[in-house]
Formats: sequence, structure tokens, C-alpha cells
Amino acid sequence: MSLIRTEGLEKIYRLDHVEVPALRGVDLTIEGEEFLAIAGPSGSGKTTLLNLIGGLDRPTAGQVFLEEQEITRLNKSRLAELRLRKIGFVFQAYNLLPVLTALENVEYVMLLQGIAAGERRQRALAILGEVGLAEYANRFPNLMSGGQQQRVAVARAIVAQPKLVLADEPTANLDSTASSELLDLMRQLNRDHGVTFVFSTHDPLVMERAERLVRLRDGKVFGDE
Amino acid sequence: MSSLRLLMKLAWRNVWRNRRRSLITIASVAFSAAILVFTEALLVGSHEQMVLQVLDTHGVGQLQIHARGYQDDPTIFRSFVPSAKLLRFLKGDRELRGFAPRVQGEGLAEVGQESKGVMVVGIDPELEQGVTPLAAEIVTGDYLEPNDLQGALVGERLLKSLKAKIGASLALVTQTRRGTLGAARFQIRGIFRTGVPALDENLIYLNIKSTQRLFAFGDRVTMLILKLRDPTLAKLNHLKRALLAQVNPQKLEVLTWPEFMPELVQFLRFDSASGYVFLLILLLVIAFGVLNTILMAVLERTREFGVLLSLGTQPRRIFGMILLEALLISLIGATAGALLGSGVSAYVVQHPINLSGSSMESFESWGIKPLFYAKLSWGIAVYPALIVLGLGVLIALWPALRAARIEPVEALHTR
Ligand SMILES: Nc1ncnc2c1ncn2[C@@H]1O[C@H](COP(=O)(O)OP(=O)(O)OP(=O)(O)O)[C@@H](O)[C@H]1O
Ligand SMILES: [Mg+2]
Repeated sequence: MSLIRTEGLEKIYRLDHVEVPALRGVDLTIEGEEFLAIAGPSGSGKTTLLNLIGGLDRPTAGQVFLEEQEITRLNKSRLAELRLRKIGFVFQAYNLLPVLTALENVEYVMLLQGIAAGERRQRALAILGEVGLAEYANRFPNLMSGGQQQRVAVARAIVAQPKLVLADEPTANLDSTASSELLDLMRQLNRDHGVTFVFSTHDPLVMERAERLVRLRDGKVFGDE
Repeated sequence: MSSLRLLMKLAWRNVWRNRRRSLITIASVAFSAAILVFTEALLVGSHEQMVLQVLDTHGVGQLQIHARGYQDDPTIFRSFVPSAKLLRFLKGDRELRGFAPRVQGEGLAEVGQESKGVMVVGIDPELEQGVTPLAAEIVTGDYLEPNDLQGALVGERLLKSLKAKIGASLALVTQTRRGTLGAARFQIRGIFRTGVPALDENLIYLNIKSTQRLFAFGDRVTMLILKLRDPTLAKLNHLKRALLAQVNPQKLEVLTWPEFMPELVQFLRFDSASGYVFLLILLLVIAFGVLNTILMAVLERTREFGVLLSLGTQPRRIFGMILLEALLISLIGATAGALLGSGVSAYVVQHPINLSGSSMESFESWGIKPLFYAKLSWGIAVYPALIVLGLGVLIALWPALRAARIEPVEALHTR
């Protein structure tokens, strides 16, 4: 059973009667425990593809299967439930809730899942340790560097033990050292926790680190290595 | 920590992330709650005072006992003899400040060449003092001596239209209850001024015995008027029920002031209504301001809602969070406002506001001093604050709904 399967995925944005095709028939299969990069020039449809896979948006045509369950027709509430249980997200920036500390940000998802306070705290602290931020637990995001914030975001994405973490250009706002460190961390977590990572990038240095590289151009897959 | 407590924590911190804006919003909520409490305190307090003053200056008591039907058809043909049992009951009632009998009827007054239609009121000079301030309203001459059957008290304006002077001889012609003519001469002993034009130009007070003779009443009276020590409506109604058990309801009627002066009730309603219209406008203005700030707070956090949604937060939880933020702001504001409003009201309870000299004619025509009294009670302090609180949450419904309906992709797209 594949983790993710898309069939003829199409997305057309309509802007004042102008149709902007963002995806034009993407067929992609992703297995469990993969470490996969989606690369492509700006506007090629990377963000759109990740959003559709994560159930944040609906396709114009085609289907997305998560563990062979079709998710494209679920209602908003069911999609939220699905994301809560199975998918973690990391965005380019401003991932964290500014009014919560690093620890609380990480705990948030487990709270939604209804995990008891003791276990929640323990797991949050453990994962912050894993991403190397144990002593930043009680900091608010605005007092952390961009790289540290992204690490907290990764910690939050992984702590609830999802099947899949979707990261849209997670290194785009980081310098090369911080980028490299974040990738090391993601790779580490991918191995240790067996979680599938799918991340987009247009940075060649980042592509090199991927186990599998899917290239997009003009909304179509045009390379899979 | 339950998810409700998380929601609480998030809402609380979100309220304080823009401290300045939240404080301004809280201040405007508090301001409106305070105004609401204070206005209500003034309305209730002033109305209570107003009623007591009006009843006093009109010399009508707070509760009246008539022959049945007199209220609807006030003529000399409806009168009664107070039973000894009833008088004993009234004398023994500790709650009563006083009670007084009245004989009332129309007549024609003549002084020299001048004549005028008047209302003749017969009083018991001693008992009257326990119920109305007539003795204190004498501006020239003297109040009636208990045994003075010749004396008459005349209103200031009536005296003028009769072109009479104190000590002058006054002839009264009436129709008796038998349909015959009644006539007698009196001497003007005193001149009174109640401040109510309609009374000062129409009333003549005589001893009740002379009046009974004038109308061929025998021992009959037109009414008994009663005054309580603590004239709350509850006490009045209680006394009314007790009285109805003493008398024959087929023959007598017992009326509290809202029943025998319905026009006063109307006036108070109208006065409250204009007060409430002013408050409603104020509330709408403030509500609009609060709506604006909450909407702004929601719109500028759109991206954050996108993140919350992507993490699997249910839209209804976001809805709840915004409502909770509004509730917190309104709760702090309404509490502060209730305290402030009660404080100001408590001061005015002690120090009534004097507005004499301003445009208060409508009050003075009722014989009311232009003093503003306040009254404070739990209800007066709490209900207006609850209204503001409820309104605050109601207003937040729309922004909260907007926040809950945000599409995650669009939200993440902003900024
Ligand atoms: N909300 C939207 N409304 C209209 N058009 C959109 C919207 N989002 C994306 N597009 C268009 O769809 C196409 C694909 O966009 P997408 O964001 O998926 O590309 P991308 O590969 O992520 O680009 P980038 O590297 O710049 O992030 C682009 O032409 C873009 O302009
Ligand atoms: Mg993109």
C-alpha cells in the first residue's frame, strides 16, 4: 500500500476570468519512509501540489489517496481531523503561533489530539531535545532565530507521530549553514521515526540531499530520480 | 490542561498581544457599561423621588379608598361612610404614616363681583397633616384650625382671578347629592401654593364638616387617602390586599397610585423611553467601534489561522477562540464599567444633582423640584453590565464566523 497516490491531479486557479493552470495532470506515488524533494522553478506548482496532498485545498480534477483513502471529497472538518492525525506541516516562515512558547507550540497538536498533560509535556521536551532546542523550551518565537523557529516547526510537525510531513520550501529563509542543519535534522527524524518527508525547494544544494527527486515544470512531472 | 484551558490561554494572550488596542476597546466597553448603569440609577432614583413629590404636591396620598366606581366616574354621587372596623384597622396599622378623609365636589365661588367654578375639598385639618404637606404650602395667612368651620384655604392663582384678599368673604354654591342647592359663606384664612398650576387655580380647602353639610353628605366621605412610611410598590400592593380583606369589595375600591394616577405612569414610561433611546444610540456607536477592532484583530491574523487550520484545528475551535477573546474583553470592560457606574451612582445617591434654572419646565409643571436623585441596587448595577457583555459577544459573532470560514490555502497565502 502506497502512502500517497495522486491520479491525474489538476488545479486551475481562476483570477478575474483568467484561468491559471497550476497543475496539469500529476500522477505521483509516494511510499512510506521516503525522503523526497519536489523541485522546480518558481510557478511550477510545487506549493499547489503539497497543498493538495495535505488536504489544504481541493483539486479541479483528479484524486489524492492517503493510504488508499480518497481525501479530495472529505469535508473541512474531516480534512482537519485527517491533518491532525496523519500529516505534519512546515512552511517557509511564520510557522509558529506567536503567543505560545516553543514548548507550547509543540504541545499544541498533542492537545488537539487529547493526549494527557504529563505525556504531552514529556514528549514535547524530548522532541525539543532531539532538535537541539531543549533550553529554548520557554522562549517565545520572536526571540528565536529563523533556523531555530524552523526547528521548532519541524519538532511540532513530527511530535504527533504523523505518517507524513509536508514542508514547503522550509529552507528558503535560511542561510546555507542553517539550511544544512535543518536538512540533517529532517533526515535524522526520517530515519529515527520512519516518517515520510516531502519537501519542496529550488535550491540545488537541498535537492542533492534528497533520496528521491521529483522535478516539476509548468504543472507537470518531468523528472523522477 | 484541557482543550478549553488551552483555548482560554490562547484567547487571553491574544487579547494582550496588542495591548493598546485592547485597552482602548476595554475602555470603551467600560465607558458604555458605566453610562448604562449610571443612567439606569438616575432614572430609577429620580422616578422614585418624582413619584413621591408628585403625590405630595397633588395631595392625593399613595393609596386611596373610594366608593366603587369613583375612579371611572368621580362625582358626588359616589361616596361612602367609613366603617368603624376600617377606621380601627387603619389606626392600628404600623406601616401607615397617616390617613385622612376627604369630601370632594364641584362648586361656584364668589367674592364680590367675581365668580369662578372651583373644586371644593373638605379635609380633617389634623389628619391631613399626616398625609399631605398642605400646611407647609401656606404662603400667606394660616392653615385651618381644627374647629374652624368658617375658614377656607384658597390657591394663589384662584385668589388672583377672584381678585380677593386674605380675610375676604367667600360664597360657595354647590349641588348637593340630593340634587338640591347648597350654599354657605366662608372667610379666606390662608393662601397656598403647591406649584402645580391646575391645583393653585382651582382648589378650595374647607373643614370636612362644613363640606359634608355643603354637599348634604352626613357622615359620608368621597375618599380616604393613605400614606406609607416606606412607600415601595410592593408594600403598597401588600397593604391594598390587606385592605381588600377588611372592606366589602362590592361597595368600595382600593387603588394604589399607579391605578389612580395612570397619567403619571405614562409620563414616567415616556421619560424612561427617551432615556433608553439615548442609551441605545450610545450602545450602537460603541458596538460599531468594538466590531471594528475585533474585525481588525481577526483580519491581521489571517495567516495565523491558516497555520492553525493546517495543524488540524477544527474551524469551530477558531470560532470559539475569537468569541472567547471578545468575551474576555467585554467581561473586563463590563466589570470595570459596572464598578465605575455604581461608584458614580453611589455618590449621586448621597449628593443629588441640582439642575434648577435649566430647561426643566416639563418637570416643574408636575410640581417636581429639578433635583436628580439616583438609586443603587444589585439589579441596577448588574443588568446593564450584562447587556453590554452580551452585546460584546454578539458583535463578535460575525468576525468569529469570518475567521472560522477562512480557507487554509488563502490564509497561508497572505503576508
Ligand atoms: N491562490 C492563487 N490564485 C491564483 N493563482 C495562483 C494561486 N496560487 C498559485 N497560483 C499560480 O499557480 C501557479 C503555480 O503556483 P505555485 O505557488 O504552486 O508554484 P511554486 O512552484 O510553489 O512557486 P514558488 O517557487 O514561487 O513558490 C503559478 O502560476 C501561480 O501564479
Ligand atoms: Mg511555492
